[in-house]
Amino acid sequence: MPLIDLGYRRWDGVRSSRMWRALAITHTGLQLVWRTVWLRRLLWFAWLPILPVGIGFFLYEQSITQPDQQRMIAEIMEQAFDRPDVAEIVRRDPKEARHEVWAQMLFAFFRYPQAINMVLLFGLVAPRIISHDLRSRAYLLYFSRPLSVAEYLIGKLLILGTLLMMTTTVPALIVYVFGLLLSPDIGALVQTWDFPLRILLASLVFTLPTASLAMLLSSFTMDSRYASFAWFTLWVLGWVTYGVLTGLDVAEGGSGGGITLLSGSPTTRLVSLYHALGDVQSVVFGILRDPSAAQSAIMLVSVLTIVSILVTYYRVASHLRA
Amino acid sequence: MELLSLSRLSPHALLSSVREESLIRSPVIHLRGVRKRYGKHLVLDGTSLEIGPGVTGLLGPNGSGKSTLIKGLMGLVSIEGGEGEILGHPWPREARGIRDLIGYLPEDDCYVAGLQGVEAVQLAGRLSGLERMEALRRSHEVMDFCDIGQERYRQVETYSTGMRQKLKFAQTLVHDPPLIILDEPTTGLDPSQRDALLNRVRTLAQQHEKTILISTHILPDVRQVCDAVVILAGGIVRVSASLEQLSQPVRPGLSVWLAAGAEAFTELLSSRGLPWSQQPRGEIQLEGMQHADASQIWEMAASSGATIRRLEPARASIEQIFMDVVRQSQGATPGRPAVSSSIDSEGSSATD
Repeated sequence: MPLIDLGYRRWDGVRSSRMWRALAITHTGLQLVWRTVWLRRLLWFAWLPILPVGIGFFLYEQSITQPDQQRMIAEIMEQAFDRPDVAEIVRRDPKEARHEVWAQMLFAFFRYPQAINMVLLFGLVAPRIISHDLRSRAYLLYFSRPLSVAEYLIGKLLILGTLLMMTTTVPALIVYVFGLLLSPDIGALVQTWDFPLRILLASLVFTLPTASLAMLLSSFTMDSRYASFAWFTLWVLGWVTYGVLTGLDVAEGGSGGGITLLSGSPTTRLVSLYHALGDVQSVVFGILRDPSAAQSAIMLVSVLTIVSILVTYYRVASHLRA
Repeated sequence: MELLSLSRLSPHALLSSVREESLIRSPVIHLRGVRKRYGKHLVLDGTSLEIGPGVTGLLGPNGSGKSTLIKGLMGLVSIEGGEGEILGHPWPREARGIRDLIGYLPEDDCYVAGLQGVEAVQLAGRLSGLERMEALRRSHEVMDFCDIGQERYRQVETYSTGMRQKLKFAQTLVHDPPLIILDEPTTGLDPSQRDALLNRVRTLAQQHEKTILISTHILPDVRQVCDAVVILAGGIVRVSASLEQLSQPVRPGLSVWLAAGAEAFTELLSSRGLPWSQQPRGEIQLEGMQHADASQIWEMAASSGATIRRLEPARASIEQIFMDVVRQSQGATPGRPAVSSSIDSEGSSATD
């Protein structure tokens, strides 16, 4: 028997706007992610790539006043990134090459470590994001409140978006600010004012298709292991197919070879989502001078996003009809 | 065996009598001509319904459209036709907004894996628009009311079926809705928990003016807690009446429970040509007898050596009404697939 039992008490507080209620789903989802120790570690590890990029920014800004480092930056641009055009500008006037060098380094940050981090992170978090709700019928809890299927999906999408923002957008913005602080003159801000916008756009390009695809896979099963398997298979298969086709390209005298960022023909690159995404990001960062070269990739990524969202919507809504 | 039941009355007569009563009570839910079809199967066939304040039991056999009706009320499934008002709001136009005023306890298990009990209730509160800390405070308040102790800090996956029912009930109440819809609320509860839950339902209805709609197959729950009953069969409301109205037999009668000498007593009844019927739980129903005839019963008991334990005016059996309505609905709509129902011999439940 309780010492005191007040029984049922009325509640007549103020309710928040319906528009923001989907954020409760996001908050709860992030709360659950944060409870997993190894996932928390992965999130910390995802910040490590900020170091080489930061060092790159530091060396470049040093190179403006120290000719020894000019050569090193030019060699990196030439050999590591296959950008002889940028290397040439660095040798001539490093200050003039600031936009290209920064863009190249930020693009590389998005393209290599953070893309792999995204595949791992989403592979661990996303498969259960909807499948667990379907298995435990949590959707009944959500939809018995004034929440639409679209709002539910936005709430879920924001979980993945926030995780990716924490591991990619925020570090990229920090590196950008770091670069500004290191630059010897205020002209750097005028030269690079567009980077925060490019970083945000690149993050969006990165998040929307991948998160939609991950949610689509999650909505197809009540057992998240199948969704995880499908997710990793998709990326690995894309890589392998691209590798095989690029190998054939090289053997036939194609454009592949070397440590290039954009090797293989545009059609070949469409077989791998990783490479197609890379093409779109290269347009965002201004690496690919001719955006029409990435037209097919932009189309593929857009169609993939729209189809994924529509099918996921249908899958979730169909459980209500059952 | 001849049984007394209200089902001999036309369901339309019952419905109209309740309509008059509902006008006085001003209905909380008022639906007209609701139609819903799944493929070729018509689930709700122009269902019209009025539910007033208090506790109403929604009964019906398998496939009668109860779940679809509830989902329709909540705006979770789109309906093909029909309109109405819920708590004064136009339905189905404002169905989504109406959900803010409804507390819904689904029949199925539903939980967010990984959350503690209190967090699960907090989430329900936040989805209903409570601020984070207010939702947490309110969660503790309703969990106290639902008698969830320290278990509230355990993950919901580790909860027993009974605990999950309590948790769902707490989630239903967290935003203090004026209308509560409970789908099989006592499933998985032991007898003491079941009593406790029904008492809470009673408290909410009587002391806090909640309108409660209970969809259940457990007829004793209906008898214990409901003020009114709606029986849905074949997508049509067949009976809608207050429990008091339903309990009144078509013809007057008396119910007798005997502590001893039942055989001799019934033999004496038969020898005197008095119509009687044996009911569940040892009840003997004497048809055509009225309050004034009680002395005659005492006299017969004395002469047959029987000991009367209880004597009261006869009441119609809700189980029998349910069965009759189901049979009527099957007979009335021969083209439709047969609806199934069963009631155990003790009249305890009609199961899916």
